[in-house]
Amino acid sequence: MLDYAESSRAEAQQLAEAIAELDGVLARSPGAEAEGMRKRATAALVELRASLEDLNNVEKADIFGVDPSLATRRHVLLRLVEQSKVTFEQDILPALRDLARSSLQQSRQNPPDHVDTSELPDSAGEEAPPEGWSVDRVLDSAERFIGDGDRVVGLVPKVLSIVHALGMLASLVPA
Amino acid sequence: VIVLETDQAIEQLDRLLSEVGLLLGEPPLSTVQLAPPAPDRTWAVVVQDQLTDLRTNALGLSELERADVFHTDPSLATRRAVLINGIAKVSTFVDIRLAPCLRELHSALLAAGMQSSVERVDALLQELDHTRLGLAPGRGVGAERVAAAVRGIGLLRTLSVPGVSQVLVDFEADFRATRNQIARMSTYKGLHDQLHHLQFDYFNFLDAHVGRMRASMQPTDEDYEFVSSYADRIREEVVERSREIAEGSALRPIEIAWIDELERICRTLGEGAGQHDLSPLARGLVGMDHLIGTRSEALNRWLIAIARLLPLDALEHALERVIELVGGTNDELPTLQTSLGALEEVHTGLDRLVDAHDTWQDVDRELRDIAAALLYDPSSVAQRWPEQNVRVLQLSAECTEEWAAKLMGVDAPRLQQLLKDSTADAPRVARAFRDYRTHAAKGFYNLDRALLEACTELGGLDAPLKDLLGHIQSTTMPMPA
Repeated sequence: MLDYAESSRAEAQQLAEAIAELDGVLARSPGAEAEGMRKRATAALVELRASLEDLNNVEKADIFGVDPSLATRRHVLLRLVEQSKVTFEQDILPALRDLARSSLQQSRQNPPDHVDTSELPDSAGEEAPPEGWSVDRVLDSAERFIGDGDRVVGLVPKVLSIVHALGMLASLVPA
Repeated sequence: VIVLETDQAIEQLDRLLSEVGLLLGEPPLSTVQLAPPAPDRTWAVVVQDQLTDLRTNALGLSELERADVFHTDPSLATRRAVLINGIAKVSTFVDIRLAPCLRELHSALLAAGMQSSVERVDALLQELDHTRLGLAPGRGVGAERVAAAVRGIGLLRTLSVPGVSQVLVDFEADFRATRNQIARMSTYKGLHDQLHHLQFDYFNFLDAHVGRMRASMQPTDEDYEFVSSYADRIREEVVERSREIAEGSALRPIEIAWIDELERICRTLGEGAGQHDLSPLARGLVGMDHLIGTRSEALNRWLIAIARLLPLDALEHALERVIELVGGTNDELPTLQTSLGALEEVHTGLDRLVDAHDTWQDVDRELRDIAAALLYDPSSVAQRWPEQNVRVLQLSAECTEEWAAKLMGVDAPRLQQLLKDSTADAPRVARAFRDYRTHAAKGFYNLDRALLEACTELGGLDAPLKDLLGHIQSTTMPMPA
């Protein structure tokens, strides 16, 4: 039997970290849409963290998972974690992808003035080009991350790709 | 990591529900009007709930496996059964509710001309057929083919070409017979679904629960209350729903007598639970098991008899004659020709399914006989199995499902090897034969499900035939003096 428990818990933990990173990026992104998205992401993060914390406490009290008095609570908490993940996967992630695509399209149509390199995300693993960052290079890089988000497998890699794309776009200073 | 069949089933369900959930949440599709699954709930929300349930139960089961690797802790048995039951409920939801919803969505998208979305739903329906039912590509009836046939039949009443009205009148009796038979098939399918619901959502769990009650020294009050509440739910959800389906369907009393019988069994279970008496509970469950087995088989038999007689050839002839009359310059000709082609494919697909079902049924009977004979005549496998094996391998040849891979790659070669080996003892041969039969039974079960799905898909022909008959009646009615 596959160990769903281990992989799912690890995924939930990584998702919480990815949402925290997303929150930072959305805080720097302009527009009401980004603000609304930030609220949804924050709410999801609060729910996910609270459920994970409660689940950890239950596990500390029942290491082997055999205490019948904690079984229902454990199940309810597992469901809350899974629900947060499903909501993120099915509702928030598609909306984030749309936000990234529309921001990219807008920046292509109305090119920003310059790149604020201090705002470029360092976690994206993008090496600065030898000739330095330009608006076009940032847009190309963001486009590549959005494409990666469609191709990669798994919720967390998908979220991280979009976070990186939005992070690149947030570093652009409007004309 | 050992990957079990359960894991594969969970992965398939997970993938399917994830894709459907994303599709239903997309803006163009959220505008399509679908009958809601429940008051104040959209399909997207219900699918997300099912996905959450599936993952939570799979997760819980995985945690339980870690805590009780050898399944020896009796205190965890109920929890395990509840979690497995939770997964089975999601599986039933996909079979009974989601598959028809996707077909409805397919028709709505076709009507709205949303071609790119139609293709995505097509792909999901095919995945449903191929992964859940283990059908080889091209087998089965196919919702998209039925939809193409429907477009042409829908056109017939709008054509103003001379002679078409007479063709429609000539085939009126066939159109009516097709509608009647589709309605009957749909009723059988609905009742069969209720028995499936009874088995996977109630009976399996109840049977395991009463088994544990009988094994324990002192069943608790909660144990009995649990049985009583299950009996009530079966009455409310299966008995009542089955009566609604059978109402006005003109089925013979013998075909629906089991609904009353099921209600009596529920009463027996309720009374046994009230009196804290295990004997009526055991008796009731034996009766329920027998009822599920025999009635499912009978409904299947009747359904296949109807499917075999469905006058699709008459519909084809009607379309052929109309196409001859319409001629090459009419704009509607390509639609009519495509529709005729699709109808012929539907017909061929249905015939193939029915033929394969007949062969599987025959093979299943032979394998059951061999299994029974094994008890007193171990040589029966060597004498009778090879012939059946040839038929099973032909039936499984195009299938890519796990059961077929195991049957063709492991079970059959192992049994062949054991039969050649003069030192192989009877119990080893019997074990190998049992594994072989288990996987063959899965193939038969999947084909059964495919036939039932085909009946749902054929239901799409009903609406245009109804309109067509209304049109024929209105045009042939004598004018008032």
